[in-house]
Amino acid sequence: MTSPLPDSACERLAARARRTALIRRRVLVATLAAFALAWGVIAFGGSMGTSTTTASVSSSDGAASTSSNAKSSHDTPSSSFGDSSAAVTTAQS
Amino acid sequence: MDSEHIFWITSRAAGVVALLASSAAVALGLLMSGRVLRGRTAQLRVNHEALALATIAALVVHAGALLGDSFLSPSLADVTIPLVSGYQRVWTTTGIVAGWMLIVLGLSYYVRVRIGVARWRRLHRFTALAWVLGVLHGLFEGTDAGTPWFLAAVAAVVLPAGALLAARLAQTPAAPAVPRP
Repeated sequence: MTSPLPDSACERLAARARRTALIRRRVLVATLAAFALAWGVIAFGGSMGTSTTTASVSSSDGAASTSSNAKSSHDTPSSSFGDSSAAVTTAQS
Repeated sequence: MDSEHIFWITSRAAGVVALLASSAAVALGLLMSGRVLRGRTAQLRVNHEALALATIAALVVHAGALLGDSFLSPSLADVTIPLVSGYQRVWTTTGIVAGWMLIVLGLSYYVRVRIGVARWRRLHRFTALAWVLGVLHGLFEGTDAGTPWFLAAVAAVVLPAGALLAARLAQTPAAPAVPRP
């Protein structure tokens, strides 16, 4: 059987546990705040990547026929992770 | 803002948080093991541990959120196994390796007695390498890498940690212990 700790030791341990819990809570709050801030900055101020534009232009003497299809996409220059077959021109939005 | 971008934004934000939290954790770790703040090791260790856990959580969100992105639509293998993804293969692989190293080395703290504390300490030094790889991944592949707010955040947290690491690496090795008579 273990002997009970003296009151002063118990108090010191309790104080240390309180300090530890406080530090952990602060780090958690700071992390969540940083995440929320970064999320907001990216969502409302940041670029979603590039605007991908597929265009075919035939022009000779100024009378040009142009067809284009633009859509907003992420910053991948050529579609998704494995696919690089699309012929596109990209420009930073 | 588009609802289709929610996973994409979440992944980017979590990546930024992982970079910042890991930088702070590395800086505190270097301060703890150095001679600068010897008397406050206990407090620093609690902060260091909490930041390491925050880093791991952010890394899981960073990779996990990408799985929900309908535009990139990567597979689980793409975001967890090095060299599988064809997208920016070098920097994606760098990030995956860094992420796994940070997770494994971070969680190894809880089994350090089993590993052997001396061995664990030697292993733990590789966290700095993992952090450097993570910084490179963020700078060279990160969508926000060129933005002023990202660079400001990096300058505030990554540079001090980098300076501490450089100072540590530049330190001359301690003189060999003189055997006692």
